[in-house]
Amino acid sequence: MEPMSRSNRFSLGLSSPVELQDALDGWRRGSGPLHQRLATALAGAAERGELLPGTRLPPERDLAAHLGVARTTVSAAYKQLEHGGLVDRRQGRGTHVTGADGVLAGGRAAELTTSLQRNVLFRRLGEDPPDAVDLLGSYEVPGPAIREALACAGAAVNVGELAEGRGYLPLGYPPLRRAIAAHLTARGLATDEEETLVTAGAQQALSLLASYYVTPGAVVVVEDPTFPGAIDAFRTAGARILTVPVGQAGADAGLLAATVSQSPVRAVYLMPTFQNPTGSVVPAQARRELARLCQVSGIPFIEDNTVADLALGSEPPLPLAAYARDAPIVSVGSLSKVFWAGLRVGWIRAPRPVIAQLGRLKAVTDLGTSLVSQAIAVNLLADADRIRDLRRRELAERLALLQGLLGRHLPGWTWRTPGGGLCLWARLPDGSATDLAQIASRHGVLIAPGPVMSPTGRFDEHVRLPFGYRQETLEQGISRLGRAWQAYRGVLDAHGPQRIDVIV
Amino acid sequence: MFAGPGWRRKGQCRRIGLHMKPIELAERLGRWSSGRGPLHVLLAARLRRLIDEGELPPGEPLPPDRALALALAVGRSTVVAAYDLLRQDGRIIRRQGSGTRVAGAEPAGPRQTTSAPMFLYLLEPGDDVIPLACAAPDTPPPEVAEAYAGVAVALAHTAGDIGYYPAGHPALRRAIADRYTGRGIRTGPEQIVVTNGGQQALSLLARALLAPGDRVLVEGPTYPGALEAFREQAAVPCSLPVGLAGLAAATRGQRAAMAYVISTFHNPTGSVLSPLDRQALVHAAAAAGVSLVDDEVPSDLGFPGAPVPPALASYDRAVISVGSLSKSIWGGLRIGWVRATEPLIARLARLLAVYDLGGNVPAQLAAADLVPRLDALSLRQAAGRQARHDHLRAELAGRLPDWDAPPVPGGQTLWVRLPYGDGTSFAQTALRHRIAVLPGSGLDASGQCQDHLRLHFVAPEDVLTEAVRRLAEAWRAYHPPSAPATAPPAMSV
Repeated sequence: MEPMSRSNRFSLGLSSPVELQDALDGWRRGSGPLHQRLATALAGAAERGELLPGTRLPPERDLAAHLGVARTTVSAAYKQLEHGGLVDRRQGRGTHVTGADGVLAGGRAAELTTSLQRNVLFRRLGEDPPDAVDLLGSYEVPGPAIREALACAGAAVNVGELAEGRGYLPLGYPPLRRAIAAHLTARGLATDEEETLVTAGAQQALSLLASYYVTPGAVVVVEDPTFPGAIDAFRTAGARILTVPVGQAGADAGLLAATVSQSPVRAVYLMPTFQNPTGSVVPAQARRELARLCQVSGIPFIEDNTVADLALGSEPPLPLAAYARDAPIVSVGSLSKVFWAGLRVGWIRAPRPVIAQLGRLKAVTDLGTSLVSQAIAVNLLADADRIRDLRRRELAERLALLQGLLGRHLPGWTWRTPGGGLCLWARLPDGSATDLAQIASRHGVLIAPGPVMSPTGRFDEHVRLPFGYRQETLEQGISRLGRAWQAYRGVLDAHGPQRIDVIV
Repeated sequence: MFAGPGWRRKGQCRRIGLHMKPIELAERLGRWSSGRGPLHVLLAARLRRLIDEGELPPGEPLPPDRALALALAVGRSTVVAAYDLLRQDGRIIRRQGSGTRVAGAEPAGPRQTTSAPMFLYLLEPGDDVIPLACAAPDTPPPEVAEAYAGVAVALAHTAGDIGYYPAGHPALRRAIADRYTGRGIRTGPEQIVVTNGGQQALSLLARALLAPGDRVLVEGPTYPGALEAFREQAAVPCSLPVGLAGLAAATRGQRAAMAYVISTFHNPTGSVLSPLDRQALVHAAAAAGVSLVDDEVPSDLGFPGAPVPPALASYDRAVISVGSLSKSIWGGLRIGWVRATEPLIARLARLLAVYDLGGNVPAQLAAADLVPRLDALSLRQAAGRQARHDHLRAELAGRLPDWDAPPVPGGQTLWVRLPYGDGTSFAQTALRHRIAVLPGSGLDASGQCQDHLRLHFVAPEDVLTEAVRRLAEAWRAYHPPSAPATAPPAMSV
């Protein structure tokens, strides 16, 4: 296996033509001369924080080639920006975005750059539906049975009775905290109401934990590859990220032990059950070892159980926290994957003192999660087993469909059938997934290449394919991906396996 | 657990020299005195909890008996007895000459969180204390239930809705944008980001616009939740008078990253910035290159006939507006927003994708239904709001005639000046009479306003009557400390 870590990949903004092209998405829209539109788009990218002060813009010729415009257009756009004081051009040094003034320089640079990665996955959300098929996120779209359950759970809420005299409950709506405790207890993890905190989805759980545990420069260990939302949350808090590889049996416990003994590790983030993106499951014996490691080292282990309920074959072992009652293990869960992400209800289960502190952070962050959403969650949890079984059946069908489609449209691709979760981690026979993703977007399908899931930027031979989408989406998306793959194969055969566009 | 020197971020600033100020400990103690039993037992129990939760880490020095007694407005013997109890069960160590410390060796725990009373009160378990400290709305108006009833139907038709809207649900973004446009501030949906209440809007702006050490100009007094959000980013709030008069002078020679103002029905003073002052403020901020944030959360809380000048954003579209339905409709909805330029909104939405992936869909759909009705709804509630305001003032005038509680034209709070003593020690006395009030010092970044209290009039009239009765009782029992217990709260430097 690979050694455990490399340094963080930390760039200062988008400087390669390919990335810049992404930031300039739709720049041709609007009226006026082309160079003016380009200048406007570049200025917008700078204001959005995509081009940080100091970023070197690509040479005119390169950007022109990429955007398919004349070099004079880029030249005129750069000149206009120079006039506006937005870029600084010097002979021999190239064109740089100027700093450091007002809104542009505000905020934390690292925060902006890390959020760029997230932007890869969420760029399309909230925009007008493009005709591209979006297979970027590992979301799922609720089927009719779950939609009905949602509607019933919603209708059963009596909004007028919710308030109990207090609109703000940073720790969560007490009946939901009780329901979560009962839910976890029923799944083999004995939990007390006081050990729970309601969050706005698992993503907020991770960002609260990151801002609680991580101070700038602190070391956090994650799996590689891992859930990109976790990478973002830790990096945003200023963490230095070390990695351990993920095998079929999850994170390597031996390497993890070596890592925590060698470095001042502040926290460890793991997804022991149906790991995102690899789908691996840590077996019971290894969980025992991990729990012991946590207990002995005293380092908090954050286990992300977001998709643990979505077993498509045999049941996974108990959550990590069940293997050592008094170890500082923090478990994160969510209703998003089993029910619906639109509720934005997740939770943290942790020792009481940790919950007390997280509750304060939650209060400063947003004063608490929406009450009605929480009340709907109470009703849904009462029906959790039935809905979970529905979801599992639905997902098993979709996984079978995706595997069939891959076999048909993407010959030579390989993967291990995941035992649960929402993602299939497919391996390309050759070529670069990043390049393929570029070509795929021109063929009308958006996919997440492996490096998005990797804090070290590796796994460019992998693509994460979520299978929770509806049949039509999967069919159309994978057939387009097949066409993109054919086109890419043509390029590969002509030019050999080197990358087309190098991303710095 | 982790004995690194770098684990304290904000906490370190707050506790220079590692000596926790008595006043700060008093804030952390929260409603310690509201239970049953002798005071020293209650005090020991609460200190024990703070120690066990890691809020007071091993090795932390505790204030001397006399200083803590002053801050808590209790007799010194109460503190001595409480410390004795804790010493007996091994929680603290007392040594002649070196004072009192939490037992154990190394500082543990990752970092300090907030110690702002406003937040700590929210985390208290329910008891019979009247929470006049947090201006939380009581129950939602019937419109909320109606709106949700419509949502339940819509939920059955969520086909294809993946449920993630980092910038906010399109229907709600449009509704909010239309409301601004209707008020004469032309706004498109892409200029709105929906947040989980106004508090998240503030913490989001702080994270997007502030770097550690940045100066933020704030009003003194102001909304304490904003101060916490700025301090969370290790920014330094600097107080100017209400309305931010003197902004130009304050930015001469020294850059400020942001200016934060509550222009309409200011929290806590209730004042309204005049149109002339608005114009001057907007110009001064633009000239100084300061991002001006207008907190409009209380702006829909006017009394009948109270004039509301044009929003700051109508003078300059670069002004960043923060709004919320929490005060005008119901805090339980957790719907707030930011209105700003499109690129800044894009940037905020991207941060939200990292923080929590955006708000929940049912509340946003309900809010999209409620926003167009907001004006009608506020108008309907205005008379009741004024009646409660008048009632609270009348009760205060009757039972506490020497308190100075000026009338306000809107909002939810009275800014009360005590004739003597200080808000912090009186708040401690009040707690023992089962009433929680917010002392003024926590609302001012410079620790001024010690002689003030913030009272809200959100509660029904009978509760307000009882609240004032308890306040009067507490006031009779109150003995202001001879040496003021009001060392200003240690500030983030």
